[in-house]
Amino acid sequence: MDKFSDRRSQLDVEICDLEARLLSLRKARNDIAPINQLPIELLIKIFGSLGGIKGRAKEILRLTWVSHYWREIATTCPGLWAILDNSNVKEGCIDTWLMRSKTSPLSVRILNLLERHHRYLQVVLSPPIHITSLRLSRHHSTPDNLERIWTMTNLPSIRLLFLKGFKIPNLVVTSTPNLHVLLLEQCDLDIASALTAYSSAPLRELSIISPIQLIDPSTLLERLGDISNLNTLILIGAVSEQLHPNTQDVSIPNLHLDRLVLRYGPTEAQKWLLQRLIRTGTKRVASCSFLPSTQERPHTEDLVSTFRQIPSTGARFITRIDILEFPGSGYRACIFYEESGGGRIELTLELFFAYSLLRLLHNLNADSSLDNLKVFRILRMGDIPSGPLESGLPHSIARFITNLPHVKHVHLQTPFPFVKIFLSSCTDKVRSAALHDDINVLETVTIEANHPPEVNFTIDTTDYLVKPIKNIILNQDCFIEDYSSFANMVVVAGTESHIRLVPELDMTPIRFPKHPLESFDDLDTDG
Amino acid sequence: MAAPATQQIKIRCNDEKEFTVDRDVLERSVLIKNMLEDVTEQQDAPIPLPNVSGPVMAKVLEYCTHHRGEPLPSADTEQSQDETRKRTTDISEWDQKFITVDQEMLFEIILAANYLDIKSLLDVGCKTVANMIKGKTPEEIRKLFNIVNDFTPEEEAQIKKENEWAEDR
Repeated sequence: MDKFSDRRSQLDVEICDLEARLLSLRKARNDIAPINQLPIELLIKIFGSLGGIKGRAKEILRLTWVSHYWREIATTCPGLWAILDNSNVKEGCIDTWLMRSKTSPLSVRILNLLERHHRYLQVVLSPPIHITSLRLSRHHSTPDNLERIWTMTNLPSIRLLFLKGFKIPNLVVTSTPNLHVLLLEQCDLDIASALTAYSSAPLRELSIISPIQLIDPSTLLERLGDISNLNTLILIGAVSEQLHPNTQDVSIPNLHLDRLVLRYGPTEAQKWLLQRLIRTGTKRVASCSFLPSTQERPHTEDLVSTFRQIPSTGARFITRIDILEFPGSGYRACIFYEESGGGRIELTLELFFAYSLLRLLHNLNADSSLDNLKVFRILRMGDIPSGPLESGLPHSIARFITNLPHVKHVHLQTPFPFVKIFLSSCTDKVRSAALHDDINVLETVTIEANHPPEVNFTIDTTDYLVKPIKNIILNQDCFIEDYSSFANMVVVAGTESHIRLVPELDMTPIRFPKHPLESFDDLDTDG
Repeated sequence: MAAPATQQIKIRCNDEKEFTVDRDVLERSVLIKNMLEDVTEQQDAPIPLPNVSGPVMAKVLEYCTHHRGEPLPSADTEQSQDETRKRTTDISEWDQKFITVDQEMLFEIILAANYLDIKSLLDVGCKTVANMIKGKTPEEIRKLFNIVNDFTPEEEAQIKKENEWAEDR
């Protein structure tokens, strides 16, 4: 008999008591931590603001490792566990993850789906299912047959389905009857019969990118007629090049698209499709071509002539046209815009070469009804002032923008030196408008400055009469001497005065030849 | 162009500190906006705000003055999860400078924004705390917020297991 056994038991009890006491003291101390004075709903709001998809899982888990109280809150807040992504949540914990997400609408993303992820998918898709968004993708040259893993017959909760790199069995379509958004990329699927199956689904958005089987445009048009809720249609490299001989008889579906994107082309078939879709009450066309090479230019002309063939009432619903990576010149973009029918109010340009933009602005009809211009990412402006021609470029662009008769709203993302020049042009415009009691022209200007020079630069706004300008956004370091000249000055980032005006910047505008279309070839640097 | 004369409203904080503020500035607070809409006649008595102290109110008013005239977010513009996530670190330069205060004041501002129902300020506050947490280890988070480890040995063992659950990608 161990003579200390009683004493040992007694000490064990005491240690246990002390440990329990220690824990309760620690908990009591945490109760008065300042952050824990916030109501639970605010802590949940803070936790919910953590991170995008990248690294999110780890951030959420870390919260549960801080303290007993935080663990309790985080693990019982289903919304925190509503995103399941195989790139950062390992298979071993999906069950816990799903349990914690309770019945919260679940968003599942499995990137680069491999054999070892099949179990992952099966667990996620086992009843009771509350997935609302499912994204599955594979990076492989040949599409994998989804049949091997898609065994579910009824997934009514799924609203968004994104599939990339799969041969899609009919079961996928029949098991997802309540889809709102269908996004397919590099998939092998009989689109026509799928659309027939989805005709009773509340499908709002359909995006088809590089399908294995190209779609016959007339069949597509016919099927689209059954999907009355559709408001976004994105077809990129999706439509076959040839038209079926009997296609002329297809009636135009009764669609009201908010957004139509047709990309790569257009081929004869795409032109045919565009001409019809555009008459259906489309509000916005984002028509983009690829690779601004000389070979592509005839295509651009075709697109322009497509628009020319539309009766003037045909595109009356279009209120916005986005032109991205437009091949060739601003002139063509301009024609494209002008020919697109009446009623347009907004033009968005992205990835534009400065010269192209200049041409477009120069060619916009003086009676253009354009009242909203957005230009993102002007190219070839960063190397100012490498030559006399380029240095005059910003000034010319600014002058043309501010001279457009009806433009009330301008949004520019531009290299920094442009800002000062643009403000100067605005001032001129506002001054001359004031003389004619027409002060309201140019109501909103948003300038996002980028590529700042390195040393001090001051915008002395006392020189400018720019009251009608509502927003100036300078997202780099700069110093504004007199904010009061602006209705609203927003400096997005930067605190110090570290912006320099390039001293030798030539403010002389480019002189335009009388017939710019013939004479611009020497400026043509964007092809 | 001169702005039309705005009505001045008096408020009283829990430390008896009083402020006289333009009505449109105060109406950034949905709570006060609703209160003012309920009162038809102009009253001279200050509006009591028993949950906010003078120094915190001064800070809140600084925010409301800066953002006066901006459209108020309506209750039905509920954002989707995706949009909310995208905007996580999206705090404007002015707001960032404004919210650079000590922790105690930060939490007081969050509480006041919650009580006064100023959604944009509440968002800025919560995002700021979230940004403080982001990327830190549990021990660093504890240190930052004056929290101690109060897990039982069983919980500790479970947490050790959970360490394997997520990848840092």
